[in-house]
Amino acid sequence: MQNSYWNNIFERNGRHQSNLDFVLKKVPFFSQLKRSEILEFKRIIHHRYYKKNEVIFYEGEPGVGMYIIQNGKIGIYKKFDDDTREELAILHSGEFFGEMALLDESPRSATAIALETTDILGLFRPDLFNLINRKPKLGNKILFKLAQMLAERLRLSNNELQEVKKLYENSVIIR
Amino acid sequence: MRDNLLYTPQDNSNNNQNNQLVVVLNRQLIKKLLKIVISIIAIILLIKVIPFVNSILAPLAISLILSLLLTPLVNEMENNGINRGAAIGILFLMLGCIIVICLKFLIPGLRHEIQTLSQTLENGNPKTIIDKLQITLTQRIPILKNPEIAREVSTRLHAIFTSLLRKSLNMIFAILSSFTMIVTVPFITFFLLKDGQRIKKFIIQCVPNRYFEMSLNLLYKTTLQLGNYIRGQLLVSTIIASLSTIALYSLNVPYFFVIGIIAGLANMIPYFGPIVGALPAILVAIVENGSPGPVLGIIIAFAMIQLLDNILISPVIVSKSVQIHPLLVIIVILIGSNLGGILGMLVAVPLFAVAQVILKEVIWSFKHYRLAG
Repeated sequence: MQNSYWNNIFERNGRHQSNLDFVLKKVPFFSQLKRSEILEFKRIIHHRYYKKNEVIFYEGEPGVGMYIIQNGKIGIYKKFDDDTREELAILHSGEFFGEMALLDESPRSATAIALETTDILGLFRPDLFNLINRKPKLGNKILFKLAQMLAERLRLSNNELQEVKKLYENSVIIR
Repeated sequence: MRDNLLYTPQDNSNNNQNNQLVVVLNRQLIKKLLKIVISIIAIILLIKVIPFVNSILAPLAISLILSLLLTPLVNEMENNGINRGAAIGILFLMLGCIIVICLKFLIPGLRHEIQTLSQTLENGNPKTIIDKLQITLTQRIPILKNPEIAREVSTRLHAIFTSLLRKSLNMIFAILSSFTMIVTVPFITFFLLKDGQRIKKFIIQCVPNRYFEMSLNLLYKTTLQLGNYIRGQLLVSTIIASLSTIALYSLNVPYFFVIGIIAGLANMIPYFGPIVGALPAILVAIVENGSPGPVLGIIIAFAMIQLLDNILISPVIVSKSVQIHPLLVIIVILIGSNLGGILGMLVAVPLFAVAQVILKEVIWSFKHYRLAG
């Protein structure tokens, strides 16, 4: 069945469940969680099936949540159009994207597109907030992991910025 | 002419193109025909199914409202470590106890008030009521002393009174005595509370990929806003009903309990609700006392309740996102009364507010998501 619409409805209990635990364990959010806690997340995770070249979201659209690649390959592009596209990253099974949207509704910073037939898992902000309301301990664990990850990224960005600044200053001195 | 009869390779390719075009057109025609046939079948099925849908629509709507009301409570209990199923069970048990207590203490009083009111109507007493009202009114408004105008006013008032009260009483009893509602509503509410997340997930699962994020956002936002709106409205109505009942009781107005409930329900209609709520109290007071003496007290009491509502209760409880223009309120109430009588009038504005919330979110989504491509 190659139609993504029918696959989304009928094939969720077959292929999707096979390597789900394995994939979730690869994601920093879930790596430290207990079995019962992961089970709680499985209840709120959405399984989606995308055909090759199907767009997951466009740059500028309001962000609703993050995606984890279960099987397949996803391309992340800036200024995505019919003619032009600026590649930012190619992501594979176990990798994730769009996690900033778990915190606010700010527009997506890039376009995500399936580069081959791909199964992805979606974790969305309203579901996460609902989980925080119902199970604050578990919600806090996830939010703490998310904060750690964003702090790590900020640190990396700061380092890169420092390096670029040094390069720029050196080039000015040489000139 | 001769050139046209000559066979050339170019002609052949043209013919092939024409044939392909005919095939494509035929396919498109077949697709269109198929769509028309499917649409006709769908319409026929819909017509056949409508009576059935109608019968489940009311319990489903009530269950949805109840689940929106109770979800925060269930979440709070789950937050305190109680299993969701058990939390719903405990909540149902508590609600059952409250209903039983209400039936034991409040309903007999309410029933007595309704019965007295309906007996007054059934025994031909409306004539006496109207006569009393007429005498009081003629004392205040001299033009009504004209016998023809007085007769006309009397007949009209009689007709309005009888139909209004009979309809509302029938409506209350129809709702209460509906056995299927009593059985199905708790059943549906239980599963909406327990498996609400799974139901939402299934609905979203059926949405095509391109509309997936938009639909997800739309569903969650509308559920949140509607929940807040309905919870807020019902809480405000309960407070207004309680305050009105206390005020009417302290002013010795008969049927204070029924009129208090009417005032609370009518409060859901913006701008006109308070007038609709105060009117029965004023009429009953005039009829019972034969003088407009207590009317001033009732007006002051209702004005104070409204002041309290506008300054303190509504701004704190009800979401400000749902605001309807006064002109629109009149139109909506008129349409509601035409479609569903008194019940239609009462639910028209809240239903319109619900539709407004959904429409606002749909428009927002269409503006912010790239749906083509």
